[in-house]
Order: sequence, then C-alpha cells, then structure tokens
Amino acid sequence: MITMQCLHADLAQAVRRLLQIILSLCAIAVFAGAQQVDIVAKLRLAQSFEQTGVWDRAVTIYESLLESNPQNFVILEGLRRSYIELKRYDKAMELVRQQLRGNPTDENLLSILGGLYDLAGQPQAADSIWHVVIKKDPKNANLYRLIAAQLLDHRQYDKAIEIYLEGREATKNQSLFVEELASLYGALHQYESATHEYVKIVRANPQQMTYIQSRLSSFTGREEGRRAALGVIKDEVARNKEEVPLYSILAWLFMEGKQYEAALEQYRIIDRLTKAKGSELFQFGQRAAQEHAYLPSAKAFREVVDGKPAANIVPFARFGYARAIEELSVENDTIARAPGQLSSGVGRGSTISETQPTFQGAMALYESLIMDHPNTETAMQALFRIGTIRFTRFFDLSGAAAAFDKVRTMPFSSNLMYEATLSLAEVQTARNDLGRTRGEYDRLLSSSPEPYRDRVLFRLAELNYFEARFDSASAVLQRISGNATNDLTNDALQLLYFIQENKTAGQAALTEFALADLMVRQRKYSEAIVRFQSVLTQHPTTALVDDATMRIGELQLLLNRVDDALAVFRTVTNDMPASILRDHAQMRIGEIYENRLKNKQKAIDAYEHVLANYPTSLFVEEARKRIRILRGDSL
Amino acid sequence: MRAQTMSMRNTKLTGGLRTALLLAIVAAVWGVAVGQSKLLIPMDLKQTDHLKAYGIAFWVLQHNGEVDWLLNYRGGAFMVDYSDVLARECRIRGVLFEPANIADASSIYAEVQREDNNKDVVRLEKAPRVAVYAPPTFKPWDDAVTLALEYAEIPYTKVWDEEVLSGKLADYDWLHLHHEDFTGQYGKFYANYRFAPWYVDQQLLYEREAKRLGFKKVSDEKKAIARSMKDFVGNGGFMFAMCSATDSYDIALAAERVDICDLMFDGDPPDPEAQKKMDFSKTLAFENFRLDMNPMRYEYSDIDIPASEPPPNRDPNTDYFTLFEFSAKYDPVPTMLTQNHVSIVKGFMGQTTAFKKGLIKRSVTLLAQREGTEEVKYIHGNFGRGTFTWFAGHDPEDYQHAVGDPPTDLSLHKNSPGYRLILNNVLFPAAKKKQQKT
Repeated sequence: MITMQCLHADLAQAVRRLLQIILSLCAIAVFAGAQQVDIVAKLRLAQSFEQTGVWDRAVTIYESLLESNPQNFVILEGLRRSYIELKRYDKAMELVRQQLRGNPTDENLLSILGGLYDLAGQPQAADSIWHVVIKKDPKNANLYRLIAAQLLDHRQYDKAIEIYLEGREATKNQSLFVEELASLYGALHQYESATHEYVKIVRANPQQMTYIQSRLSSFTGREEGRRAALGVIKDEVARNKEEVPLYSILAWLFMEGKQYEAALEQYRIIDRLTKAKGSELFQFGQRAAQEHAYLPSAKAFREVVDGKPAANIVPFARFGYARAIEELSVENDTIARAPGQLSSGVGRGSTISETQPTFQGAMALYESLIMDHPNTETAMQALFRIGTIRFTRFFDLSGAAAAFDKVRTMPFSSNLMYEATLSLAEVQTARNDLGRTRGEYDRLLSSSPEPYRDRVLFRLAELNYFEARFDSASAVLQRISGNATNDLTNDALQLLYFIQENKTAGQAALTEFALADLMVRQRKYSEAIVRFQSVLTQHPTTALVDDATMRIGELQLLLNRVDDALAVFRTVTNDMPASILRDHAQMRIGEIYENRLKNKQKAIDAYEHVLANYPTSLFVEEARKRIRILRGDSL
Repeated sequence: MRAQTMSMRNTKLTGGLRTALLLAIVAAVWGVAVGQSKLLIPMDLKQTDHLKAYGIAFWVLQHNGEVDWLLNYRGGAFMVDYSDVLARECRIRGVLFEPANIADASSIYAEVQREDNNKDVVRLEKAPRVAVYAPPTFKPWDDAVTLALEYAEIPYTKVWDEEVLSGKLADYDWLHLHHEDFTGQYGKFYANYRFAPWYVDQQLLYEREAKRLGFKKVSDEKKAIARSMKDFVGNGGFMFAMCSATDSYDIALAAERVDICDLMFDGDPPDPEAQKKMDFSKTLAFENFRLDMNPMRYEYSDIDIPASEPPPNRDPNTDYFTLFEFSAKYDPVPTMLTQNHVSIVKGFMGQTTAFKKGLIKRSVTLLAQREGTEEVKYIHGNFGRGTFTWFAGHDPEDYQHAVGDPPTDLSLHKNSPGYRLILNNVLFPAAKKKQQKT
C-alpha cells in the first residue's frame, strides 16, 4: 500500500517535473520564435531601405542585426552592399576582414576584398590581394573567374582580359575562357582577337558553326569588323588547308560582304573536301540567285552540272543554270532578234555561256532539260519559262501559245497551270483572237483559286473596254475597286474613271480610242498612232483629244522617233490651253531631254517650266527632285 | 506677365529701327529709280513650305545677301532683293514667294515700322556657322534639329568631345546639343536597354573616348564638356538644346564636384550626399531641383514634367502649348524666337517633355507654356555675352518618339509650327546687333 502510495507520489512528482520541463521548453520556444520574427521583420525593413536607396537607414538596421547574428550571411551581404553604396569602403573592408577571420582562405571573400580596394582607388593593393588568391592554386580556373567578375563589375574590361589570359597561361589550356574573351574582344572592337577566339570554338566543336556565325555577325555588319575577321580566317586557312569549318566561315564572310566570286571559290573547296558531289555548290547557286548575283550563281550551277553531281540535284541545277542565264540576258538586254532568227541559236550543242548570255541560250537549256527529264515538275517550269521568253522577248505568239498550252496539259497540280492560262489569254489578245481570250478567262474564273480571280476580272474588264462594252467593263471594275487591299484597285479605278469621264461625251470617240489601246497591247504601234490620230480628226471636240495626243507622243517614243515625240508633247503644252495634261506633257519633255537626249540643261529648263507654270501640279515634287539631281545637289 | 518683363530686361538686340526704316525708304526710292524690286517670302498660312523658307533665307546669307526678317508680319515673313536666280531657287525648293515692286515693298516696310503696331524689321546679315555636338555614331534622324537642318538644307558641322575640349567651339556661332546626356548616365536607358548592342557599344565608345582624353570616368569628361560649352556661351555663343540635353546639361553643371552616377555607369556607387552637394549657382536655367538617381528609372530629376516614369498617358489631340507674345520693337529676341504662323502649337513628348516652372531661374525668359499648368515648353536666357534657348520634347511631329522609331519625314510636315521654332533659333544669330531702344 505504502509502496503503492510512494509510487503514486513519485509518479505525480515526475509528472509535475515533466510538466514543468514542457512548460519551460514551450516558453523558450515562444521566446525564440518571437525573436526570430523580430529578426525577419528587421531584415525586411533593411532590405526595403536598400531598395529605395536609403542606405544609411539600411546600415543602421543591418549593424544592429549583426550584433546578435554575427555569422548571418544575408545580413553581412546587405551591410556590405550598403557600405559600398555609401562609399564607406573602409567599413566594408573591415566587415570582409571580420568574415575572413573565421575562414582566412576563402577565395571568394578575398577577391571581394580586392574589389573593395579597387573601388577605394587602391588598385595596387587590390592586385596584391588578387595575386595572393591566384597563387593559392594557379591552375584553378574559378579563381580567375572570381577576380574577372570583380573587374567586370567595375567596368575594367581590359584588366579582366588580362586576368583571363593569365589564367589560360597558368593552366596551359588555350581553350579556357574562349567565350568570355571572344565576347569581351568583340565588345571592345578588337575584332581580330575576337575572331581568333571564335575559331577556337569552331575547331573544338564544328557543330557550333551556326552559333559562331551569329556571334560573328555582331560585328561583321561593320565593314572594319568583317575585314578584320576575314584577315584572321584567311591566315588560318593558309596554315590549315584541309579544315572545312574554316572555309565555311570564310565563305560566309564573303557572302556577308556580297563578294560572291570569292565565296564561290570557298564553296568549290568545301565541295571537294567534303566530297559533297556538287550539293555545296548547288546551295551556293541558290543563295546567290536569291540575292540576284546571277553570274556566280550560273557558274556554280554549271559546275554542278559539268561535274559528277548526285543524281537527285541534276535537274534542279540545270534549271537553276538556265534561270540564271535568262536573268543575265535581261541584265545585258541582248534580245532584239526577230522571231524568225530564233531557230538558229536554239538546240543542243549550241554554244551557251554565262559570259555571253542570250535568251536563245536560256531557251536551249530549258528545251534540253525538258528532253532529258520529261514529265517532271522541273520540265513544267522550264516549259513555262520558254513560253514567257517567246512571248515577252520575241513576241513569237505561236511558239508562246504552244508552250503555255502544253504546260496546262502536264499532269501536275500546280499554280503554274493558272499562270500559263493567264499568259495564254494574253497571247490570244495579242493575236486579236478576243473570243478565245474571253473563253480562257471564263474558264479561269470558274476554276482558279481566290488569289487569281481579281487578276482575271481585271483582264476581263480590259477586254470589255477594248471591245467597247463600256458598261460591262465599268461593272467589273467597280467590283474590283471595292476591295481596297487589292493590288489592282488603283489600276481598276483609273480605267473606271477614264471610261466614265469619256463615255458620255462620245461613245464613238471612246470606241475608237479603246481600239487604238488594243493595238498598243498588240504591239501594233504604227497602226495605233493612225487610230489615235483619227480620234483627233474625227472627234476634235471631245475631251479625249489631249489623251490621244499624249498616247501618240508615247508611241513615237516607243518607235524611237524622239523629235516627233517632243513635237507632240509640245502640242499639248502650247496648243491645248484647257487640257489638264499640260503639266504631264511638260514633264515628259523634261524626261526626254534627261533620259533620251542626255541634255541636262534643257531637261532642267523643262522641269523648271513645270514649277513656274504649273505650281499646283502633282508633278512639281518630282520635277524639283529631278532638277536637283541634274544639277548635282546632295539630297 | 513674367515672361514679358523678364525678356524686356534681358533683351540686347534692339533698336536701330529708325535707321533701318530710313535705309529701307532710301533703298526703295533708289530702287524705283533703277527699277529694282523685292521678293517677299510670306510665312503665314499661305506659305507652301515654311521649313525650306528658312533654308532660302540662309542661302541668301551664304551668298552674301541680306535678309529682312519682318517680325509679326505675315507670320514672320522674309524680304530680300529680287533676282531671277533667287526666284528660281525658291521654285526648286518649293518655297512660295511674292515678287514685290518697290511701291509694294515700301508700303510693307512702312506698315511694319509703324509705331502703333507690334511689328518690326530685323536685318539678317551673316550666315551663322552652325555646329552640332554629336557622337561619331550619330545619325541625322536621331534628332529633330539635325532633321530640320538637313531638310532646310542649312549646312552644319559635327563636333564631339575632342573638338569641344580643344576649344574648337570658338570657330562657330551657334551650337546645338544633340540628344545628349551630360550626366554620364548614358541617357538613363539602363533599365530597358542595358543588353541592347547599341547601348553596350555606346557605353564602351564613350569610355574609350573619355580615357583617351585623360578622364577616368565618362561623367567627369561630360562635366568638363558642359563647362566648355558654358564658356562658349559666356564668350558670345548661341546655344540651342532640346529634350534631355537641356536638364541633363544643367544637372552636369550643378554636379561639378559630386558623383551622381551609379555603379553600372561609372564602376562605383554615387555619392550618398549628392543631392545636398548640388551647386545651383553653376547652372544656366534651373535651380532647386531634386535628382532622380535610381538607375532603373528613365528620369534625371524633377525638372521634367510630367515625369517620364511612369510614362504619362495623354491624349495628343488635346495636348497643345501656347507661344507668348512679345513686343517686337522692345523685345526683338524673344519675338524672333517665337515667330510662327500659329500661336498655339501641338505638344510633343520626350525624355524631357516640359520644364517645371517653379524650378526655372527668374532670370530666364519663358517663351511658351502649356496653359493652366506648370509645364513650360520653351525658354531663353542670357549668360555672359551669349544666349541659350532650350526647347523641351523630342520631335515636334512625332508625339511619342521611342528608341528605334523611324525618322520623321519632314517633307510630310513642311508647315510644322514646332519645327519652325527650331529654325527661328538658327537664323537668330544672323541678326544684326542694334542699339537698345529706349
């Protein structure tokens, strides 16, 4: 019993003691928690003072917090930042030294200490400390990074470069810090050094070519930057003649500078070294063509074809070559041959060269391509080009029609079919077979996709106009002109207003005028002049008289009768005082003197006449500009 | 009105009107005898190209001619001796002119000279030598003034730090401060553009130039530049500045002995006592302003109103400022500077959109203000033997111009009243100095 009581008493006492301990622990925990809450609140306050730039208040709070938490990293950092902002570098240094007492070999703290000396205007002391840091482990790349970071913070880029180079030397690792150094050199406009670093990256990892090109492009847009990079890469290539990545950079740099021939030379080497069987040259040809560099493009395509290319690129390379020759022919303007002479230059085996490009040559290339690769999409494109050359360059209507017609029969669903039909309709118009023209347009209207319909509608409106169906033409033109986003809207409005203005004044005169316009479209210039003249003689009182005279002037010019053209335009300016086209006629006189007769002074006089006599004309701005160009003003 | 009283006090180019009138009448009488005539370039709403008209006036001066600027007559018209060459040049440049026979010209001069109206004649004699302070990376379309000079075909020379510090400004009459930051904080574009290649390049370029010229920091160099320019004005030069080149210039002068640049600008923190150490006795136009030293804010101080941060939300259709009217006969300088064909001009923003009135020194003449507000748009003052004119905002025809925006095509704004105010300043140094009217 006693034992039991004693036991109960002991138990009660033990429970009481346990409760006391729990209560004490709770009290301690509550007290500690309250203290922790207080620290966090103060820390936040100090940080908010920092953010708002009230550094002295931040310092006061950080200092009080540090007394009770001398090892707290966040407080130490905040206090150091605030000291720095207040330019109290001595206090900041003292703080760092205090931290160093606990860990005297901490490289990060030592590099920060060096940075503080640097800020305080004691660069030699800073260098000494940094030297100590590096000396601890000269092969440790991170130490150089720590110090360079301090220097970069202080915008001391040249010294940062020195530190990186020192690290590279000490570690005997020439690929160390390449990215860092390349960026710094680039930013400091030391383009040669930057390029050397980028070469190292490419050598180590050729897959990074695109990345390196994008980095190089940060300065190769400047001519001096591109020149410097070119110099470096050329030297590297001279020393390492088998390194494809170097040739790739060199080719890219030449392309950036639009030095296509030099770029082509590099692509030849790349193609050979990589055994690409022409695909590298082919890519160059395409890019050069996109940039309208047709001569190097033609050379590249030709070399692909003449070499031993991969079979899949052959037709495309041949088409590329023919297109380049065609474009070169446009540049050289070597047409001027009558359709009858055409056959002599066409055919396999005839001499074709990019140095003496001719449309005949281009056509021969297209034709041989069609023969060798029949029933392919490339053949279809080649045939369309033949049709276009025959129509626009030689006005060979039968040949053009045959080509366009054949394009339509080819078994490919391509927009080229619609283009061929549109072109064929144009050929029919030129042949004066307006019924068939209308038939083609009607078919296209029902079958072509949306983007073609407005073009077809406009052509139909023109056809109606040529055939004196003015109401129908106006209705179609109104439909087109309702769409302000359409490229043809302005043309449609112009023709619509012309018809509306002149229809009421005299149907017969307008009919005659439209017929003359059709003849112009059919390139029957002399007959068109006669028609326009008949408008003048048969309908001398209509408002079309000045329009007809202007048209005659333009046709005389087309026929190279420059003096006659001048005389006609002068008729408008001198003898038609009521005409609203007098300013335009005067402008054309100036343009003839400027462009055809190359008589600067007379051109200036003519343009000045526009300014003096038609000051409200729409042409005055252009006239002013021409005068200033002619007299050599810098605009 | 404060503006008027101050300008009267400051005016130095005045008087001599009677002499001019006599000369004009004598010339007119003599002209009648020999059949000479005049060419009037009206600057009212009839003018087809106001901006090129200034170029024509400058062209006449370049060719040793003289131009009479008819203040407050038909929008500030120009009267010059007629010649076919001049008439042709006007036509080519698209400037409207009216040939005036001697009788017409005499009548115009007589009207302008009458005592009972607010008009006067100022004779322009010599084409000013124009310099534009701009970095080598400068593009003419970065800046409204160079746009105006280019459009009006007024020749100018670019100068930069080396020329300024070596005293080359003495070779010029008129100096324009391109959109420049004289505080060394790189336009305070840090928050938005610190990673942009143009910003990085600019900072490095400026640092290299400062080092080359013997300065440790760009801010120190820019302050030295600001002081050289102040000397230029003190020695009789004409300074014209727009947008942030105005307030940043005065801030740089006030901060002569204090570091106001943060770490990212000059590699060390600013002086925490910077505000207290500002010396407003050194400035030309502003005083008692508070610096905005937060590098993340696109603002230099509280001079700019409304503040650029946050960007003000204004309706351009209701933002206008009013040009003050001055006495042409007693205050010809502010009258010249405010010649226009309208008196209320479209507002436009900039890094510095307007100047807070309460921070402008009392010695400065207010030329234009947004009515009913504290926003002063256009000011003029004297320092030493020279003058300065500051115009707030970036581009008078681009309400809110942003970095990278395309340049304003002035051929679409030939009659811009805002651009006219700029060009008034270019001709102003050509004026013949006259005795003060008593």
